[in-house]
Amino acid sequence: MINLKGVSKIYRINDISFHALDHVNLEINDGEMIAIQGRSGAGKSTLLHILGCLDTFDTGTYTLNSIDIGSQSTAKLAHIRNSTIGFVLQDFSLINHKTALYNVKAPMLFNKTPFFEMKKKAMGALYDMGIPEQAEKDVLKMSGGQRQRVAIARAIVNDTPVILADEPTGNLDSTTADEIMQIFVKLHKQGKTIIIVTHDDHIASFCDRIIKISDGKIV
Amino acid sequence: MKILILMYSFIRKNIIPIFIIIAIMTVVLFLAVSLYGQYKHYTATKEFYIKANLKDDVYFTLMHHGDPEVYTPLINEIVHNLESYSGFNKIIQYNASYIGYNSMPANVYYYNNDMLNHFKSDIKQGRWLSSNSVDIEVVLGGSIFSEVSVGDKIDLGNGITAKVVGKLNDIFLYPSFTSFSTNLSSNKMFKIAYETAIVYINKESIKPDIYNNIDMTVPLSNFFISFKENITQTEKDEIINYLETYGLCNDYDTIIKNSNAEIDYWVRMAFPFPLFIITILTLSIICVSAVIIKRSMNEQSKYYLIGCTKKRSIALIISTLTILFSIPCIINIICAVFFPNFLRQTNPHTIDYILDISCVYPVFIYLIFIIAILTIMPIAFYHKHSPLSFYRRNL
Repeated sequence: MINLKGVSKIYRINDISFHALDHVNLEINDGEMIAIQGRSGAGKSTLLHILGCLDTFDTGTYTLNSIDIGSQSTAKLAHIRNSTIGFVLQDFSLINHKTALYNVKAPMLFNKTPFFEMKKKAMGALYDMGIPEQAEKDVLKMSGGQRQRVAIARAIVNDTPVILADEPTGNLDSTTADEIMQIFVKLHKQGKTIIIVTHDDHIASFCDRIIKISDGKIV
Repeated sequence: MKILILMYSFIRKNIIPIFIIIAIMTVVLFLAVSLYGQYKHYTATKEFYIKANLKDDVYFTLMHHGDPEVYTPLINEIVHNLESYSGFNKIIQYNASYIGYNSMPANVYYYNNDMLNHFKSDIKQGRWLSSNSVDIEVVLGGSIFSEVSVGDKIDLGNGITAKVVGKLNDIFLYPSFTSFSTNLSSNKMFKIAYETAIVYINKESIKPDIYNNIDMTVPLSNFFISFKENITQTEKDEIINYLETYGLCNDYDTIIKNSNAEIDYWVRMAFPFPLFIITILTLSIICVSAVIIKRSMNEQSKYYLIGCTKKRSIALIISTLTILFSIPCIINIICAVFFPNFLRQTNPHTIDYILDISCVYPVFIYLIFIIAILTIMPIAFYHKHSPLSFYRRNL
C-alpha cells in the first residue's frame, strides 16, 4: 500500500520558493490502477518521482508497503527502486545502442539474480510483451511501440509489484497507445499496482480511479 | 561478472575517446619516465657519493697526472710524507689493470677493504665482494662475461684464478678517480657505466707475491684522505695545505654543493620543455575524460532509475577508468624495467637514463593524480546535476 500524508515539495530558485507539491494526501491500495491527471506544471511528475523514490520531499510522510521512505538511506531507496517499483517513461529511458535483451537484463545487474538466470528471466519478460524475436535488436532500431514494450519488460522483470508510468503513450500513435494500455490492464489484472501520469482523458479512462492534481494539490 | 558487464558497456560506449586517452597517457608516461630516468642519471653520482659515507674525508686530485709512471712515485712520496702528520689516518684508493677476456679488454679494479666497504656497486646476481674472504673472489660487469655464471671460476691471468661471487647491474657506478677539476662535483669523481666490462677483485685476498707480479697494476691519481677521529682543525689545515702544493682538496660539503649546482643547471636546461608537453597532454587527458564522464552520466541516470546508487555509479566509472589507465602504466613500466636500452636509443638526443623498477614511482604518482581528478569529476557532476535532472532533461 502507498500512503502519502501531508507531502510537500518546495523548489527554491533565486530565493523564490515554489510549491511543486503542497501537503498532498494520497492512499493507493495494492492492485489498484490509477491515473494522475493535471496540466503541465501541476506537479504530477514531481509526485511520480517521489512515489518512485527518485526524489526527496520536504515535509510529510510517505510509506510504501509499511516502509517509511523518508527515513531510508540512498542504498535502501535504490534497492526499493530495483525490487518494488518499475518505471515506464515517455522517452522510454532505455540504454541506447544496446539490445532489447541487455535493457531488460539491466535491473538484474543491481540485485542478486544469479548471472545465468538473467537471460532466461529477461526473455520471459520479452515473451510476455510479445516481442521475444526482438531480443537481440538494438533498441534504437525499434519502433516506439516496441521500445515501450521493452521498457515495460524491464519494469516487470524483477517482478516489481508497483509500476509507475509517466506519459507512457506520449510518443506513440493512438493504435499503439491502446496496445500499450492493454498491456497495463493485463498487468493490473495480474495484481500489480499501476500508477499512470497522463494528461490524456482516453488513457485515464483505462484506470479504476483518476486523481486530479492542480498547483501541487490533489483536487 | 555483473560489474564486468557494466564496465564493458561503459568502455564500448566510449571506445574512441578511451583509446585516445590511453594513447596520450602512454606518451605522457613515456616522457615522465624518461625525465625520471634522466633525473636519476643526473643525481646518480651524488647518491653514490652520499652512500659512500665519506663525510669527514677530503678528496684530493693530483694536478700533474696522465702518465702513471710519473705520478705513481709522486703519490707514494705524498703518502709517505702524510704519514708524518699526526692527524692523518689513511688514503682510500684502488689500483687498476687490464685483462683480455675472449679477445675483449676489461678493466680490473683491485679494491682493498676500505674501497669494498665504501663503494659497493649495484649487483644483479650473487653478492658484493666480502672484505674478510680468504678465497680470491671477483664481481663481473659487462656483456663480455654473459656466459660466466655466479659460482664459476675465472682465469684472470698472472696465475690468478678467482671465484665469481656476483654480477653487476647493466648500469652501475664506479669511482673513476682520474678527473681534474677546479669545480669538483660528484660527476667528476664517479662514472656511470652502461654494460662496461669490469672485474672487481678483493685485493687483500691476493697473496703479495702474486699481486706484485701482476702486469701494469697502477694506482689511480686521485684519492680520499681519511683523518683520525681526534684531529684538530689546525692539524687538518696543515695536511690540506701540504696536499694543495700538489693538487686540489675538496671537502664533502663543497663537492655536494657543486654537485647540486650542476644538477640544478641540467634540470633547468632539460626539464622545462618535456614538462610543458606533459602539462598540455595532461590537460587534454582531463578534458577527454570529462567528455567521457559527462556522456556516461546519461546512461548512469538510467541505471539510477532501475536500482543503482550514485555512489555505485561513481565507483563504476572510476574503477573502469583506473583499470584502463593502468594499461599505459604497465606498458611504460615494462619498457623501463625490461627494455631500458630501447628507451635510451629512441631518444633523439641520446640522453642517458637510469631506468629500473623505481620508475614505478613517477608512474604511480601520475596515475594517482589522474585518478584523483577523475574521482572529483563525477562527484562534481552529480553535485551539480542529480541523476533525476539528467532524466528530466531527456523528457
